[in-house]
Amino acid sequence: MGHALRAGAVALALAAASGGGLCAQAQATLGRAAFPDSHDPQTYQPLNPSGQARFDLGHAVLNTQWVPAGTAGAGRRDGLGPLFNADSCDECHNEGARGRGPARDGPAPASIVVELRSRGRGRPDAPAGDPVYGHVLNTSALQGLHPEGTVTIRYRAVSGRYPDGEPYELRAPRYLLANLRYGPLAADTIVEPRIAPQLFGIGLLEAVPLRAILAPSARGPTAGTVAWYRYRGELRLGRFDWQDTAVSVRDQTTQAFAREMGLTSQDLPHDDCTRAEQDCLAQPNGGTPEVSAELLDAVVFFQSELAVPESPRRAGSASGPGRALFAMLGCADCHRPRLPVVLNDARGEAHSGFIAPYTDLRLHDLGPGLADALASGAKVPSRWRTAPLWGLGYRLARERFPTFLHDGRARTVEEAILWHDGEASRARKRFESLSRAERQGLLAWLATL
Amino acid sequence: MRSSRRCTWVAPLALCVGVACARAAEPCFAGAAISVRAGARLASAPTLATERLYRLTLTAQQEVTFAHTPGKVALTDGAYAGVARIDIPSTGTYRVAIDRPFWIDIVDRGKLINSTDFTGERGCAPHKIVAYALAAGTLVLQVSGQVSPRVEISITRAPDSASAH
Repeated sequence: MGHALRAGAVALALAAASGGGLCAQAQATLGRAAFPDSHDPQTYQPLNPSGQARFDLGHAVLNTQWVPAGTAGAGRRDGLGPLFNADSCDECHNEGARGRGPARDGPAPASIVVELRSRGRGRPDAPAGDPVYGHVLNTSALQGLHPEGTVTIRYRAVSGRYPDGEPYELRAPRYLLANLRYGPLAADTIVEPRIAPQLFGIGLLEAVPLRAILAPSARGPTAGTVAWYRYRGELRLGRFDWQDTAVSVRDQTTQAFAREMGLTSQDLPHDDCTRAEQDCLAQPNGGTPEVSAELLDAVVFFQSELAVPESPRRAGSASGPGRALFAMLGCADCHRPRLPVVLNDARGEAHSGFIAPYTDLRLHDLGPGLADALASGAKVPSRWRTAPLWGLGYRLARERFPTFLHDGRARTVEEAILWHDGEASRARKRFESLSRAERQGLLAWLATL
Repeated sequence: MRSSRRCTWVAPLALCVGVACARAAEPCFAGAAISVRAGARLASAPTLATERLYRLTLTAQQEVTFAHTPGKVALTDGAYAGVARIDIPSTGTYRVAIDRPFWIDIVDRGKLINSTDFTGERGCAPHKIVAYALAAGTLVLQVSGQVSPRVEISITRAPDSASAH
């Protein structure tokens, strides 16, 4: 491939797009809404009065700051910790948005948690955490207790150059875990730094039929794979979080409550204290469970009905070569612009439709640069769920320091693309070979999603 | 305890500290606080000056009448809240810093003012700093949502470097 795709190639791609898969994307899709006020998240479909009340309660639960067990007058919201990372969902998912990434070297922000997964223990469908620290390294603790440890990020500049000579610089993170309360992590524990993903549209992703995710693909080396988990006695397809480790909105929510906030629920009646953490286990709880069934139901419902904010740059900027380039480079192989959904309306009736999430909900190897590492420092092969790109324009317009990828290392969409390797290496190389104007055209189009 | 000492910036500092406790970034938090009872309604609200640290005594939230419904919807079981007027001497970017994770609203002529930035660090004082672009005049400050009956708070004009973000 030459350094830049010729204009003719772009024209060909446009023609192909208009006659192929991307054409369908132009048809109406579900799930988007204008968010003129970020404190007033919108639903993707009208709700009846009882549904709206449930949604509003769920919104309140999302924003609620939980407090220690036994706090006078705390009513429904006590039970935080004893070990935790955040005291509210909103601390990391601000009004449903993705967490803030790190601006520079220093302590990891609360919206980045270090998940811990044992390589040798557990089963593929029921992963185990670190035998001492559990599934998440909790960096906060109630008064009188010690956090499990601290996380500091140090970046190393990685310089590169496009074939046309334009330079770029990425930042490669190193995660330093220190002040570990109970000694070192197990040698076979995988350290998984993860930024809080956006909640927008996740109910719609849950409504994608299994067959659309499992459908045989003719994509060959970029087909990816899927993961199955044992959930409430059934084997279920993983489709949430950075590596498809949660099977439903409810599963993702209860995991976060238990592991990152120390809040038990009827689904997960234990938080992330392990048998090795006797001081944690000895603390009083805030009820059994700490998050009542009503509040859990409401916050799951809130997320399930949450729309994806429209991009303010959408109008008038969707033309141009960006969309065609996206398809031509092969980005759309995994960031699929159209997926079917089956949704229930306010009356409980099922309806079919389409969404434009720009994901296939499948797992892909993106190469060693993005791979996680064992506590010993050795890299381990890692597969990543194709990140949904919808809502990107809203983020770019709203956030002062937007960051991208699973740990916020990328400071721009362009950097995120340049980190793609493994199954996505061909697409990345094609991107690198574009002219500067073409690259900018693609990035401008991505800002309309 | 009363103090007439005004807080002054030692050096410009970026708002998004994120590296260590931002105590040094908020000069007021290095000094003594002025104790004041916050209002349970606008009519009884005290007036706060900028560049000073206050310790506000709050009222059970269900007994507080706000100038505007708090901008963050949340469960308020056991929460305390309060209202104060603030005198903004000149138009510019101001930082509201508090030592506990209360929700902060600033109301100007009946409308909530959107924040322009925020940062926070659990276990630090201040716990949270929120930036606003404010017009000169008297505005309303509201704090709500937390279970503590007291909060320390300062309103300081941001140095030029911070407002240039």
